[in-house]
Amino acid sequence: MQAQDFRLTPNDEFNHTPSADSNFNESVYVNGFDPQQRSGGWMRIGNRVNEGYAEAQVCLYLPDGRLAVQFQRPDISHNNAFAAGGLSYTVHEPYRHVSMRYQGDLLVLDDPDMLRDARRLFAEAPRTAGLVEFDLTAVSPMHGGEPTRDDQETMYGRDFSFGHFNQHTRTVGRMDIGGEVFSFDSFGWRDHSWGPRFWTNINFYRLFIANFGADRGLMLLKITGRDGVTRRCGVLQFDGDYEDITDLDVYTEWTARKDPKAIRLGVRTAKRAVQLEGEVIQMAPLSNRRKIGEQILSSRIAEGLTMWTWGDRTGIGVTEYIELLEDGQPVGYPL
Amino acid sequence: MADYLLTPADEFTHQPGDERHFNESVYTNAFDHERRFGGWIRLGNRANEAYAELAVCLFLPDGRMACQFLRPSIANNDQFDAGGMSYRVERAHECVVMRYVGEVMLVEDRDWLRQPKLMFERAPRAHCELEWRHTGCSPIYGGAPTRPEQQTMFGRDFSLGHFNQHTAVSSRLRIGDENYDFDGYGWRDHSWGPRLWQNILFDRGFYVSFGPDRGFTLLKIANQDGVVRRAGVLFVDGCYETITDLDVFTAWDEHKDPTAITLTARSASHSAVIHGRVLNCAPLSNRRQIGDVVMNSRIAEAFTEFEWDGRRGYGMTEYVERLHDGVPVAWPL
Repeated sequence: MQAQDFRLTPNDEFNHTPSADSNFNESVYVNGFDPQQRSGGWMRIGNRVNEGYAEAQVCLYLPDGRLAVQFQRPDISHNNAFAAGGLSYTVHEPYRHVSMRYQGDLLVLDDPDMLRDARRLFAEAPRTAGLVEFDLTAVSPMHGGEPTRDDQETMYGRDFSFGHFNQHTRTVGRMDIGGEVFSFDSFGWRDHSWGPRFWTNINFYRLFIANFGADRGLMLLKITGRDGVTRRCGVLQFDGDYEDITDLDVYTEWTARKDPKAIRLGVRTAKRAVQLEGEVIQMAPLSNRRKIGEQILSSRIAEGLTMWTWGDRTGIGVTEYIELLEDGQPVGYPL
Repeated sequence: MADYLLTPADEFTHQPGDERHFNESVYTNAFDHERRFGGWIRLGNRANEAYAELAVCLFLPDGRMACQFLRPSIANNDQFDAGGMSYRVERAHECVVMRYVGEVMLVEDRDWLRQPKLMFERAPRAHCELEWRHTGCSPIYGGAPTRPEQQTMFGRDFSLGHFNQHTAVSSRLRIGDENYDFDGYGWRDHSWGPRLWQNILFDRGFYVSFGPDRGFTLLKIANQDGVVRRAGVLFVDGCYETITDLDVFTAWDEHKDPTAITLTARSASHSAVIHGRVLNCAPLSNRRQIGDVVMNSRIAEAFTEFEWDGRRGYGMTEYVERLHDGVPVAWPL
């Protein structure tokens, strides 16, 4: 993935005209994590205007191990803004400064495994009022955009997102959860995608996003399509610059529930070869279910708060394993 | 395998190309899975340079190595027979016999191999008589590429034609007064085409047998362009399954030689998690002057015990890589 392979303009920070695809998605995602409190979270709005709703998601990892989450499908009638279900997203300065805010109910979970049973989650989880504000300013270049050629491979594949860009950030966060306030001034990451998307178009992938301070981070993806072909892409952020990776090896240790619990990475760029070790300290075991024609496809979406070591640096971020389930089993496991 | 053409005639020597560094080589390895020893031998004809590369590298049960490295003169590429080493095809695709009769150096300290001059001066010698009869227990994998754009396993500037096979081995081996006969398992390959070892920027190769029905040939390689490729097969229940993915993790010693390996490999039918422990390592090297440039590569040849689904296998871990300022270019990955 080279810069000339993608086109990006300041206008891409805002909403795009939807295509005719019924599953057109335009989404923004932000995260921020505090390595001292080992907490933080992510929020996402995905407009599915041609289906008349948005996916609105909040997933917060609290210092004491609880999760505070919300998942909604609020109605939307246009794709002119990112504002639905209590979530809103503002571009203050393209490429430099954005913010995301959520005001509304949060489900507070002592037991993250409640996320494995959505019906039970919404029926039984305690609720409280939440106000979450993440303010993100750039600490890295932008990465990605719209492909410039018809044959240009896109990061997640064209059936998951056509245009896509992302950036490491300084993230200042404030999470008010029923009067308990958690604040941090740390680092994070954001992305913005547009194009047709079914979550279940991903056969399986392993995605790693982390910050190691203002000048260092990673965004690494190993993805396998239904054709069995595996691709590796992403960047290391080093001394503030992005270096496209030329190779990536991933080794995962698993829990009894087949969620990732520890990760080893070997990463190569044109300039360096590095080894990293990650420990998942809190898991949000999410899922997605979609009926396509007569077929029901289910995917697991494991979202793990992860502490990383990269040489003498400690980092924090999110590990995301998405994969189809066949007979209830994740198709990429145990690799 | 539509990507490659292989005929019984390919078991024998080929007409050399015009390239000065045309190579045609046969390599076999064999290991006793009970007593955990064995090794590999190789003969590489470089007819256009009028010599052969002869290598013997045996890992003995007591931790010593028995080695030989020679460059005997050859006049043609009509057979594999030089310096006391010979290779005979008894039945194409089914049975080959490789022999070596000659002197070996007994290496008690593997670091001697880092200083070949000292090793040749100091290492005690013994007479060696070796005969390995390899009987195929897998299909043959590879051949000559059928299309100009077809990627070859090691890259066209390392070998144009290449095939390999897992084998059962009947070994007769005598070193000095010691008898090391065994029946075990191994692997063999045969390559032809222009070859400079330095055309491999780096590779991690694993050539391992677990018995008559299981093994693997796994390779992660970057040629001069630096693009990393993964290739090879899992040998499962007697069948080869081409891999679709491979990840490699290595633990290293203070010399930057591998000490332990974790492999994850995927084929259309299987996902494999494989752990390896290096039992002994021969830290070899290759030096070549091309024009005014002298290029050095390290060739770490590690006898390795692997565990896969509760089964133990034995074979070779081979890390070839260029040295830049004396440091392997791909380390620490």
